[in-house]
Order: sequence, then structure tokens, then C-alpha cells
Amino acid sequence: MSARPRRDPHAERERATRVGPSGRARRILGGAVPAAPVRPRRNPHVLRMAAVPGPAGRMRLDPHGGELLAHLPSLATPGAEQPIVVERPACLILAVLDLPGGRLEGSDFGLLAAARDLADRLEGAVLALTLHGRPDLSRLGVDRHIALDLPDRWDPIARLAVLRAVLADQAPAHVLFAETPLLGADLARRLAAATGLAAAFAVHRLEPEEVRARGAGLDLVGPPPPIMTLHEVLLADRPEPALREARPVPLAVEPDAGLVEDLGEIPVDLTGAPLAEADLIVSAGDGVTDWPAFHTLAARLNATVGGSRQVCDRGLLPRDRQVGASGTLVAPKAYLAFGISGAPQHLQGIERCQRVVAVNTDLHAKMIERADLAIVADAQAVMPALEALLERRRHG
Amino acid sequence: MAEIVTLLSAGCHPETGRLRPAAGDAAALALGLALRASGHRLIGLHAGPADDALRVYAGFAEFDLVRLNLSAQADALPVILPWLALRRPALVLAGPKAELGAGTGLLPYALAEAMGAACIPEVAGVEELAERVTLVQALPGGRRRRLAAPAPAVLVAAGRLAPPSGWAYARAQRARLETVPATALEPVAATAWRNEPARPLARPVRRIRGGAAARMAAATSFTAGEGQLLVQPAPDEAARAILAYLEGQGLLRS
Repeated sequence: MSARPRRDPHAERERATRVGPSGRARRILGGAVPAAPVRPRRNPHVLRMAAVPGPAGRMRLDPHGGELLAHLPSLATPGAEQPIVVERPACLILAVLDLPGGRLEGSDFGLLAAARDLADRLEGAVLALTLHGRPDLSRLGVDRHIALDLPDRWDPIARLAVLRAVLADQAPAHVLFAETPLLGADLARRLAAATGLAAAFAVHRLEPEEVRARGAGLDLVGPPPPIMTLHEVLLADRPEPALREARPVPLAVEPDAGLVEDLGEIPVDLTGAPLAEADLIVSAGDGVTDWPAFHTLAARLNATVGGSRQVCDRGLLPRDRQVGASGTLVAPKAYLAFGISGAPQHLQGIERCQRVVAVNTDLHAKMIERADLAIVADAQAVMPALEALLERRRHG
Repeated sequence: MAEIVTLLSAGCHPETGRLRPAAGDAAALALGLALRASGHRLIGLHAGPADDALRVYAGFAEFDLVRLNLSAQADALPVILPWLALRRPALVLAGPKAELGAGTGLLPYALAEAMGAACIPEVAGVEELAERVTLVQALPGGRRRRLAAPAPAVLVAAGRLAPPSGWAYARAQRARLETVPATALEPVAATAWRNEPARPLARPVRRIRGGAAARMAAATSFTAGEGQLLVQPAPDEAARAILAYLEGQGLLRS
């Protein structure tokens, strides 16, 4: 008989078999029972659950336990938007805003959009110059802002003096104006004549390498000159509403009175002015029956009279007063429509109006839908009330 | 009585390309003819190679016409300036833009700068001319403003102004022109600008920034008027709302 005990492999396997942590039967070699799983299981959702919003507002993952994201600036104060700062611009683009009547108009937005585009492509900064008032330009793509309060009277010499001071002080690479008569167009030509700098007027394509300026029946093509005015095709644009610094830049200048003396505006009756150039139009449609009240109101507002096709067809207003596709396409600052339902042809005619006020009895009229201030009421009641209110306001 | 010089350039009909009185210069001539009616002397000045460009203006009225003989490409300013310095006119009238060439509208400004005179654009009428000139300026929207400036002044006529009434072919043919020889300066070294034919421009549009999502949103969302709606208000309330709205937009003038 052998001294070596006989092994029973079946019994050995039976003894070595334990129920593992997952409930499955496991055979342990060497006789030691494991206390816990060898490798702890990793929860793959933890990383995603720890994501935090990044500077651009998107959720960011940080595999390094928050180490990377702690250095991002916006995470210090979540929620507060930080303005974009251009600390060392390669060049300055000066945009001279028109601000007709002291408020921002469409041409100013277009001018700032073009200046922003040019500055971005040249890695420069936009410097805005406002001569009458200080509007908030921080969401209009402006990095630096020179605001002055020149007197309201028309004094091109004083404006030119300011501009020359800015040019001497800041040395912008390009000066942009809007091609608007009496405002940007006038000032740009004065600057070009006074400084002798190269200029391009009515630029309709603005690239850092090449600009196209509209001449008389031809295009002038060349590299961007220091002075440029922008054609109206570029002025319908608006800058991106990203928050920028609009850092106020001081300017010390004492413009003296020029040669030209402003003797003030002359009262002009505008009720019969050409519709195409009017900036306040009172328009009548089929809903108007009280014509004396309509004309009294137009005279009181000193607004240009317009009418729908139906009204002109019936001879209630002359044909040159017709607004719409077959009449005049108007672009006033405000358009007051009394009793006009808004035929498609009429709406085409008022497409470029900045503000529309409609008074109509039909709530579902297209004009009510188009209007910025819509009043569902009878025009015959509202017109005399408005006229009386204006009269009271005039006499205090 | 004072002397008035009106600058007349060669006009070009935009459709046919034929020679015509330039619209802006005709407007300036209308201002000049109105002044001539009150006793001032009017001279029409043209710098160019051909009599015909000046002759078309003679069809409006009989007045003195001077042509500075100059090639079409030469710069007019260095030739006009010494001539004006000799005549010393009380007023120089010009149109807003030329109808041929670059058409920048810079010449009146450069002229005024060289003369040390005031340059006033958008002039709709001249009321009085003596030591000072009192004039009416056209503002946007049909409004008018009165200005005064010391006498040698350069006035740029408003573009919308009507030309003088009545044009006669026979009068244009009869007109006698005075031709002054002029020595054109050599043009300075060729500039970086080149001329290309003008193509029709696209409609002014607002560019949509911010990628495809922003463009999609702009194309699919409809924003009509974004304002107030008052349903059956009292007439007084409606009137007050309209008035407040117009006042907020700075549109009340009375």
C-alpha cells in the first residue's frame, strides 16, 4: 500500500467551490477565500453627473476631478456674462455714428456691424465715436467708445475738429462712415478734403484686401483706404449681440464755432410732401369716413398724407398719395394707418417702415398683425380724440 | 452785384448713356438762375474736352459759359482753382455728384478747402446774397433749415431739386462758349484703384450670424409686429397710447 493518500478530485473541487459576491459558484485555487472583488467596479455615470457649465454655456466634463475647470474664468461667478475684451488690438477701426436726432438708427447698426467684421478680420478693435449723446454700445460690437455732447445745431466745422483730434489721438487704421446725406457722407468728404487722406465713397463690398466703391456707372476697386463711407446695401446689417467692453475713451477737444451759422428749422407744411422721403405718414383706408377729421389730424401732426388704393381709386385722395405696390413704396420712421385692413400690395408698400401704428375695427386684419401698436377701434372715434389730445398738449 | 459761378459737368443718361445735363448740376443751375433773376451775374464753368457737354446746359437759359480746355482724364481741381482765384466769385454752385467717372462728390469740398470758404451741402434755395449768404438746406423727410455763411461759399445743390424749367434746343445751339486753354498737370503715379463695370447690387439684407442653427431659427420663426394690442379701448385711451408711442420714438414735431 502506498503512503500517499489518494486524492479525491471531486471532493476537492466541492470544498474549493464558494459562492462568489455576484452569486455565481466560483472555484478558488489555493484554498484562500477572497474577502472582496479584486478590482473595484467603476461607475461610468459619475463623470457625467459631475459635469458643470463651461464659459460658452455648454456642459463640460472634467476627467481630472474639477482640476481643469477650476481655472476657467466664468466658473468663478456662474451666471454673470463677462464682456469680450480686446486688450492689444492690431489696429483700430473708427466708426463715426450718425445718431440722427440723438438716437441710434438703422444706418448706425449697419455701420457698427461692418466695422466689427473688418476689425475681427484684421484682429483689431472697434472704436465708436458719437458726437451727440452717449448711447449704450456694449452689445453692438464696440470695444472703445468716445462720447461727446456737441451742441444740437448743425456745425460741420466743429465735428471736423473733433474728428481730427480723434485721428491725432488714436490713429485709427480706417475711419468708417455711413453714406447718409448731411451726416456721414458730408463729414467723410470734409475729412478727406481737410486731411488729403485717400478715401472711398459708397463702398458696397468691404474686405481687408479689397474694397469696391460705387462710382458713376462704374466700380472703383482697390485696397481699403483710410476713409470709407458705406453704401446702403451694407447698412441693413446688425452686429452680433455679444457683450463687449465699450470702454469709454476720454477726448479733450474744444471745437470753436465754424463759419456756418445755423438759424434753425423753418416750419414747412409736410402734408403734401413726396411720400418717398416722408418720415411720418398718416394713411387712410376704406375705414375712414370722417375726412375733415383725418386732414385736421395730419395737419396737426405735420405728417405726410397717404392712402390705400381703394381710397385713391374713389378719388378721395389724389393718385400721388397712394401707398403700396402700385403706388409709392414708403420708408418712414412711423406709419399711422387708419381704417386700413392691409392688403398684400399695401403691406409690400410699407415693408420698409420702421414703426407701424394701426387703428382698425377688425381684430383679424393683416394690418393689426403687422403693426407695432395695434388698436382695434373705430378710426372715426380715435382721430378726433388724438387731435384734441395734441391740441391740449400744445397749449400746455 | 456779385458774380456767381456754377460748375457744370458732362451728364450721362443712366439708361441710354447719351449726353445730357447732369441732374445735380442742373439743380445747381436752377439755384444760380434764381439768383441771376435778382440781378447777380451767372457764369457756367465746365472743365473738359468738348463744347457739347457744356452746350446742353445753354438750352435752359442764356448765360455766360466758359470751358476750360482739359482732357477727360485730367483732374479738374488744379485747373478750376486758379481760374476761380482770378474771378473771385461770391458764390460757387455745384451738383452733388458727377454722372461720369468716379462720382465721389469730393470736388466741392476740396474746392472749399483750398479757397478757405464754407462748403454747404443739400442746398434747396438761396434767400439772400450780400456780405453773407442766407440759404435754405433740405433735411431728410422734406424738412428745411436756414443757414448763414460768409460770402465766398461753395454750395452743393440738393439732389432732389427740380432742374430749371424749359429747355430749348435752338437756344443750346445758338449759345456762344468761351474756351480758355488750360494746362493739365501730369497725373500722379497710377493709383492702386482700377475701374470695373458696375453691376446691379443685391438688396440690402441683414446677415444671420451664428451658424446653421441661427439661420434655421431665423427662417422658421415669424415675427410680425412685436408690440402692443389694444382691443376696443376708449378713444381717449387709444389716442394717449398713440401719442405716447410717437413721443417715445421722437416723432412729434409740433
